[in-house]
Amino acid sequence: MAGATREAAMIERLWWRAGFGPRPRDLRGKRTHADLVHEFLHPRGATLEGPEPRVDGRPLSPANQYGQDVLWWLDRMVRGRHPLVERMTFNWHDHWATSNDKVGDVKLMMRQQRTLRRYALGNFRTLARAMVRDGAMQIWLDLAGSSDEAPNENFAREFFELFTLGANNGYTEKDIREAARALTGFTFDYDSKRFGFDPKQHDGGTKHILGRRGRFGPLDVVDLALENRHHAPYLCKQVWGYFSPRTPPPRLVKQLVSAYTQSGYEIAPVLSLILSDGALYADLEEPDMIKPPVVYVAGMLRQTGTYITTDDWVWMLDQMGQRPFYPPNVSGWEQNEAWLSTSALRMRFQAAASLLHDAIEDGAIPADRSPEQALEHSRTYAGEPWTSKATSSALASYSRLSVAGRDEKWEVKHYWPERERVLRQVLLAGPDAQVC
Amino acid sequence: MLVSTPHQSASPPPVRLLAFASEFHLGASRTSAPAGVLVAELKNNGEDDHDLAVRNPRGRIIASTGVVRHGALGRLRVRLRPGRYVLVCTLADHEALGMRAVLVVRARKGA
Repeated sequence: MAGATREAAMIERLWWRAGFGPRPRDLRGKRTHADLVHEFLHPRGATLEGPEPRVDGRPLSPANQYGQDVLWWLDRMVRGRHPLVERMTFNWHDHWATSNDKVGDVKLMMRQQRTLRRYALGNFRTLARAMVRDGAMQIWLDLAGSSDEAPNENFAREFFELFTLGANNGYTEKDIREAARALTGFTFDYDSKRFGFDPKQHDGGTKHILGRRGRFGPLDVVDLALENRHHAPYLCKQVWGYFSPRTPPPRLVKQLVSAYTQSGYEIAPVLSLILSDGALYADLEEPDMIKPPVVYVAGMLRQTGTYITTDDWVWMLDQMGQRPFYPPNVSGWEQNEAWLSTSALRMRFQAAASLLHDAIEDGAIPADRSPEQALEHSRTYAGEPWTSKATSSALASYSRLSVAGRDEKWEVKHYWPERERVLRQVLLAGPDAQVC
Repeated sequence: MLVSTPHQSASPPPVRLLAFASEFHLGASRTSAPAGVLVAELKNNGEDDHDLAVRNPRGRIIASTGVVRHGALGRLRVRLRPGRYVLVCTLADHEALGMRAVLVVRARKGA
């Protein structure tokens, strides 16, 4: 990574993988990597900093204006002072993937988002119980309205397959059917928008779930799944997957499972181990994680000290394949190489161009600016991003050759700013900017 | 001597409302609004076509998004006086099936 030392490179990777990228000052501090991991895990103080988002000169109204829910969340990623909380909130959104395409209520989606944030670094059992009772989730997976006469299996199926155990991992179709019975009784009235639980619509009979027998209710399903031996390894690997595209080493999985179960399903000890483990910092000079679109965009804004003043980010994120509050399905977003389709990559390039638009006008660069200075100015603007040795060399070469022999007055006026526009564009959107 | 007061004379920005349509629900982001210009958007989350129309207290449709196809977004702009309005989907029997929501428009404070 960019850092001159391994420690600095680890810090930069931590910011990208456990947050939404560093602001330039985040890389200049004197904190050690261990200090930073501790800060990430123990956030204190104000949650946001910087100017509030405004579009067309007005504050956001996310519930009342289409697309502004996306801006609202993007703003939290950009202005957030608790990077790991923000990143885990989004990771849990991917894990408990719920889309407003079916829910159709921004307020419910934002309420779910607040729940995910509240338990972002907290207890998974508490989070899972909250998700069972969450309004957006109840609409999304048809839990609301599931009655003893017609139990709906959608939530039970995904609860085992995606949220707690993993596909075909220690449960049967019968377990799903029985869990669906235990989950009956939740109600939702569309007119009053009130959620509730009607004992008369709950199946109070005996159920057999995951080898246990009892008159189980909705929240018992959470405990039964979490106590199953397949849960902890599944969840720990899922969490690891949000930080690294590589398979976790078996000895780390053992440590994670042990920390998770011994703490009673606490997430913070798991995160602490992941963020401190050498496996996360393998091959710092060859980063292999593709930045998810929200990380790419929020990171670019943080790197350049830019805040939300336009709603263009909504359609750009859409075109890149990741619109917060609108995951493609209950499995969430596909990760890594899936982000780099031709059209998505083109949109990443366009997003950087949009940010740079008119940033340097013709005539704005003095004729005595050396190639080294031009590159240094561009790197400073772009937040000192990491570039590989090959890219660094190519940029230095371009900085020299692009204006060589162009010393006529009109050429200085046009080509010298053009050089820095190109350098900034490549630093923000070139191949190296897509990985972390 | 008269001193101009642009803040007092400028008209307030439009009030925004976002509604989602599905079969056969119409969920609106607000149940009340101040009088003035309303800009309403309809996101069609359903599989059928839908629209969003505003019925005034006298029962007349005064604005509509026109037909909004599955997955699409429609928009209308209308000036509303105080009163009880109904937001509806006017297609087929969708209103009778439940696609309606009440919007109470109140006089602006100081107006």
